[in-house]
Amino acid sequence: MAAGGVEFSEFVQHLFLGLVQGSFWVLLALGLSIIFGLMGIINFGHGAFYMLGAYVGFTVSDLIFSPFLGPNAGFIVALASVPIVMFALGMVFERYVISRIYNTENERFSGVLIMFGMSIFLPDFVRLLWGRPGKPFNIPPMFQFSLFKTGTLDITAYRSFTIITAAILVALLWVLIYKTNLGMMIRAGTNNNTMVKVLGINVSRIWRLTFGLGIALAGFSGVMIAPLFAVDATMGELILVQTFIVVVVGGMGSFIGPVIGGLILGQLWALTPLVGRTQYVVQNWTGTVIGPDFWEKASDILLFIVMAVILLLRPRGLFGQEGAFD
Amino acid sequence: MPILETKSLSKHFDALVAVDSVDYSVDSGELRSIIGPNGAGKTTFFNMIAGDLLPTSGQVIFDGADVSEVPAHERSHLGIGRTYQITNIFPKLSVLENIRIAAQSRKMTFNLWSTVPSHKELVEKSDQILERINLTEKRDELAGTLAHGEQRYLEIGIALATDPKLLLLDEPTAGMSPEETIQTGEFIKGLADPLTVVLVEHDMEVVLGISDKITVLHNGAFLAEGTVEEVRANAEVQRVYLRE
Repeated sequence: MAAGGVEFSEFVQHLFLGLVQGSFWVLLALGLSIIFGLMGIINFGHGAFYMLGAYVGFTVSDLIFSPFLGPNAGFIVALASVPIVMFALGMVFERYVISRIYNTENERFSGVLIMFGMSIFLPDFVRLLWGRPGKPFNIPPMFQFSLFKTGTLDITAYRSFTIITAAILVALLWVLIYKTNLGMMIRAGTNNNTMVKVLGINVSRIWRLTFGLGIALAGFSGVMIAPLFAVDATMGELILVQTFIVVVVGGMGSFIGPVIGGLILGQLWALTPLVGRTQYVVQNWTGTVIGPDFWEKASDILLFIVMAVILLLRPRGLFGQEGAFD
Repeated sequence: MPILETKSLSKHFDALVAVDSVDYSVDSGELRSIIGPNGAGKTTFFNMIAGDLLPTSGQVIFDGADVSEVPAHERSHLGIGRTYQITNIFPKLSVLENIRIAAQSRKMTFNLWSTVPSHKELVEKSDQILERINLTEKRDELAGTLAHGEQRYLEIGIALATDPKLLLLDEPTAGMSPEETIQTGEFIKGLADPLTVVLVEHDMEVVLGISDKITVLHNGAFLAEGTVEEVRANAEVQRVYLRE
């Protein structure tokens, strides 16, 4: 079966890759959105913490545990320990750095500056500790097989694992936000922060936990994506921009927004290069053929175009609440 | 014994004197009202009692202790509950959760990771309050979807859930229909004793029937105090307020 010259199996392959990419965007966008919703901090350091998570995972897995326990167990230890380490790190960072700006003039702008500073500091810090070149991070042997393989279609085990893990995390996060006491207070604080304070609730503890949670999610995403790419000090840069696009498109102040936004953009991003493989190849006005190369590049640019269109037509995003930035 | 006293309480905003040396005293269990035309300094006075504003000079004494410099959230724990002129609730939380979060604020240690229905006594307490404010049927609806009057009741419920000794209500009937206003008056009357209630109103009719005593502020200063009849008969009050 083929549509316009593209094999169906190739189409499914791209759907699959889009789902993988989208899953990571969803995890990062949720962390970004929850921190912003409660604390009003636009976390430009989110990508840097994601990158740091990957390096911590590399250290735990390749340097500490794999030599003794083997690469599979080493990787599992890394997956389990990185969120804990990053959660603690996030809380310490909130306590000793971010909390200093609360109730100061230009609180939000200070937050942006601090987190932007982290996005510059952390990569250099990582280069200092781990060296300038990136680190290879292999797919653990237990995941080195395909669940399904035919022609160009290859549903690999590890990529499937990331999708399922992301789905479970999103579900757990939903339970946390909508069914637990902490979640109720996060929602209350996001909704009406002054009121929470007036009720005499210990807001600082909620904020600390929330920031830790967002950073833990970022770090976990970093270590989970590491086997798919190499670990590198700049790995958080592009994905940070893409995550912001997901949040803008999905909408601030809602849980479903970043989830749907991430999944839709993941598909757009993955399917766009296919256009170049169709028989409907276009020529521009000079007669140059707009071929596969164009559509490969277009996929990155399309994200920005979608964001621009959303900002023009529906500034609060697909599922966002009006006034989320007030 | 007074549960609340203010001594020469003043608030200046630069050159503007919003509240000018007010002495005020409320006994435990009383239902009191503060009235005055717009700009009389009622809400500023109120905010200083609740701790949302700190006084320029003078004292606020609550339950025998000087709380003039104590921040609002600590006064909440001491037993001062309040509502706001503009409804202040959590629109995106359910009605039950609105009450529940206030009840929860009284517990110092709390397992944040436990599920919402797991603390039985808090849910029971919240349900009792819902019963009192007549919102049991709307228990699981989002607070933001309630009618205006219901939201005002919910806000009072939130304040009640914090176990206050003193309840401060800022224009509780603002925006209500005349019928709702009468009902709300009766409801507030039912709250007083053992609770002490102080309400601020712009509209004198609201407070006429229910208050033990009415205090009139004008231009930030104390003008008159007494029963409904006394205040009505007061020539000064008639001049600045009733004829308005």
